[in-house]
Amino acid sequence: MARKTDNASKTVESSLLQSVDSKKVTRRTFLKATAGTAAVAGVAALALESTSFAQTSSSSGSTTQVSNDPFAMVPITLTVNGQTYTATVEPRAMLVNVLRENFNLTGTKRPCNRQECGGCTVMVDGRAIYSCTYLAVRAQGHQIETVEGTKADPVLAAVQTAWVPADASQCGYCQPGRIMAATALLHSNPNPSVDDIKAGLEGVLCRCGTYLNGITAVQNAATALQGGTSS
Amino acid sequence: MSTPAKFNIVGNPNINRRDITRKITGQAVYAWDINPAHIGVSPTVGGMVYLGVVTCPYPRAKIVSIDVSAVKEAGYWALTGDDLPPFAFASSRNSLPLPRSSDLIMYPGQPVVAVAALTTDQVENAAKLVKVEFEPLDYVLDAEDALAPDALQLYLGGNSPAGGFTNENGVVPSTITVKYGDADTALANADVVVGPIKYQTQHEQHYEFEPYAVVAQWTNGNLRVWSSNQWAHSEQSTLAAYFGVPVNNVTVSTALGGNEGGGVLGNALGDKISGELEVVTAMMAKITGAPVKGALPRNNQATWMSARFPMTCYMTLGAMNDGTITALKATVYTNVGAIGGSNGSDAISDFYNLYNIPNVTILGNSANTNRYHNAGPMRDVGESQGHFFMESVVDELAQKLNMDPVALRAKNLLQNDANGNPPADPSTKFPYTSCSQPAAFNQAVNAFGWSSQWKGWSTPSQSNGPLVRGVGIANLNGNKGSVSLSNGQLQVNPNGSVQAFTGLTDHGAGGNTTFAILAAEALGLTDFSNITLVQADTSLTTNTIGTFGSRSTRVCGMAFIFAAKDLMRQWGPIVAAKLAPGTKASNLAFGNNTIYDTTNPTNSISFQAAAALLSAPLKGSGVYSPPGGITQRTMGTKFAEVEVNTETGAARVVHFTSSIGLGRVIFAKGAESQVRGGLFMGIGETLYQELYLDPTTGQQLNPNFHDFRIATIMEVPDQVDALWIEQNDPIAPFGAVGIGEPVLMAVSPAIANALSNALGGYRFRTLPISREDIMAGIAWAKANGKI
Repeated sequence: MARKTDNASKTVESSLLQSVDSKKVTRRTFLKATAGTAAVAGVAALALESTSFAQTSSSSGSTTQVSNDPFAMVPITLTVNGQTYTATVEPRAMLVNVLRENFNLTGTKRPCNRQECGGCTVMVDGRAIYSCTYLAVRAQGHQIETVEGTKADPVLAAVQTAWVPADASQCGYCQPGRIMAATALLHSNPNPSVDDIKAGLEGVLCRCGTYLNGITAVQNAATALQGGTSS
Repeated sequence: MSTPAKFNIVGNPNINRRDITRKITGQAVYAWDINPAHIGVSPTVGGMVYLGVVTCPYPRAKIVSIDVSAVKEAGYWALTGDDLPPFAFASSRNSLPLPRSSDLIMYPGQPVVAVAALTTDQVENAAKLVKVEFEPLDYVLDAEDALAPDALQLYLGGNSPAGGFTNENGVVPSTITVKYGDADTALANADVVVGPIKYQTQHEQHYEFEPYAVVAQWTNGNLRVWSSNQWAHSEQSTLAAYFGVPVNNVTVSTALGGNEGGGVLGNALGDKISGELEVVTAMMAKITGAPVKGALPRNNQATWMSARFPMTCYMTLGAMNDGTITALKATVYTNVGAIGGSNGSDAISDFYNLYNIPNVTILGNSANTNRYHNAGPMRDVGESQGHFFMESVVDELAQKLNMDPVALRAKNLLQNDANGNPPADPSTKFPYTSCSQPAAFNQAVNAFGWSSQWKGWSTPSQSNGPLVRGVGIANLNGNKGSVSLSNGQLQVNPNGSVQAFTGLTDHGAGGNTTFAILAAEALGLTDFSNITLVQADTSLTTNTIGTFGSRSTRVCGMAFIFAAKDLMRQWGPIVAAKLAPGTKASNLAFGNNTIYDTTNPTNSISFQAAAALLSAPLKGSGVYSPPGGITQRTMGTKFAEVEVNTETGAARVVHFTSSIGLGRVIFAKGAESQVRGGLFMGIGETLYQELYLDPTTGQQLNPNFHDFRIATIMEVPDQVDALWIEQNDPIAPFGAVGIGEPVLMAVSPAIANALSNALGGYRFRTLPISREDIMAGIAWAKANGKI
């Protein structure tokens, strides 16, 4: 998968920063604004259809409307597994929450929410990232791939296929992260050594202890993708 | 391992995990994943309300004031203990889901106020509006401190939950948990005595990957709960009692429940048998009038849910010069946290069963402290700790006698008597139902290659520059997987499909696949593709004991075997009428995808064709209660080879061998994976995992994955041998024994003993064995010319 330029997201981020900067928001006024909007949000948000699982084919709205209110909802459009999804979210919304709660793509998990465990790993432009600390607005204009994207990525499909006979999952709650890390690894390194696999998957913990079987699965996926027969 | 021909599917090495594809493609919906759409609620903001908790950081404190007015003014919801009806959970100490304003805070991280908002992000806003003031109070964190005469008294009547009595000196007397023979006299007569030696194990959290999650919804006085629980039926009765409604008005399922695939758990390890979160979430659902999702963040999971209790044990062992162990004395201190009862003393003291020891006295002490919330099982109820104590002190005995530790263990090993009868528990006299020693022991000794690796007590097994290696052994014997009340149902439909009903769930280790194999085997089917599992949903399944204690294979299997018998009782006459004239229904049996006449196997009909004879679905119900007065054991032996870098103190397991007598392997791939998984959890328990409290404030320092380290892929050993012995337990489905917890037991002493061997006999007596401890061992070994 080709890496795309980061320009689009940089534009969004810098405009967000400028807007905050131009208002010269102090910590005090920021907190005041928080309390004020919170009171409204509790009631007003009821009317919004912001978390509907809107999935459209249009690609409008690749830019983000920036409000002076840091909690004002912003419409976003994301490309996930080759399909376009839209939602209206708070600017602080992390990618993992938007995938799970707004798009109902609950395959991506959120076991720790502070980039320690890797269970939330998804691919952005072919690279594995922790979606729990990646702003959803930043992901606009990029190719996002999740564990649900089997049909859109033959490498992901091969990894998932190899996972089964190798018995590389138990409870399964970390596995979406492990599988996306393995997929990103095989995109960049089609023939990894055991040490490469360990390095590629080191960022995703597993409490059931499926590490050993996972190494076999990644090796077998690599063999299968190169036209061989997995052992 | 080959499968005996008499089985249709049990033990088939080619069976893949049944639910794996749904889990690895993101289709499986765990309780923590539930969105409005999953439970038929409009997927708009406000369709579901999200719960959060505000906690107290102090280990013990008075609540000076709680003010939630700003939360409510802002349009959010708040709930305190004063809003909850008075209720005590089944515990020796009164425990409330949230403290009333008059209650004392009893542990760091205790939830004080629950808040709710319309999105997960807004929960954080709501939590920040809670104003709560605490007055920190004195506290006690350690079990031995809590039982000292001048200890701070946390409860009227003392800190011991075992009745709370004190003697004339104000000391809480030990509870004698095991006593047989005469340990004092035997120690006086022993050639050699080691001890008392102090061993300690740590305070740990389970850190199952899916934190606890509960979704609750009230409709016309009926409560529906979807949660990540290990025992839906127990949760149902807790909630019905709490809210004062009939049990039938409460429905609880593991995750979405219902048919195949609904009941998934992101592991549990003993952590998901709570009650507090269910009650608070259901109460919030009552207040808001909307379904409420209480999905705990990791730090709340660490402090609110149960934890592995820290233990201290003083061990004394007496033996003759030839290595025959004659006496064991032990005193155990268990820190059961703020509300724990006298915890698991039987399970903890069970380690006397490991060897044939004629004289034993074990004293148990439990103490309530302010260290943490509640003592709970964590992939066993303290047997891992008991194994660490026993297998460490046995190693120290071998060292003192300068004996090969494998030879010393072989000398004292339990085994069947000359007539082939299994041994009995020396204290309760209950006979073992089967005994896989010494078969498992011998298998592991040979597979590991012990005789070529062991170089003696003062010599590392290998030395290569700064890298030294050592080898260690630990035996396994746990009272695990005992069959208890088992029930379940099998339903055959006219189209040949089958529904298998069980109240059990699967932590994730492979239960679902095992349950399906057991159902197929009971019906004589060679594959389970036509079987749908219906599990852990109180509206569809019957109460059977929950999934813990390594017993779900046995409980489920016995239920299905008896359900198949009940099915045949009803189905047999219908089938017999279609077979050869004169066929007796009582001679019919399931096998090889047919129903056949046992007196003439060619007189048969395919399962599918037999099902077509039915005009309506037919359900067989299975109930089984085991006989009393027996003990069902899982036994085995584990070896570790460990490499230590003597410059950095880094240690890694290089080679691990496990042999477990598992009776009969049901799900072969799963059993092997389970052994491997238990090894990684054991590596974490031995070298890394510990919840730390700040010594000056008592606040919890590392309720997260970064500072509470578990094993990673970097800990993968060069070689892992997962072996088993099939010894056929007679009171078990197809002979199977539980291994869910035994895969963890005996890992830590095997690694600790190997580390000791690598460093010339330096002992590691406290878990986890930190890098600092290893550096101290290296310094000692160098100073004494061992390395």
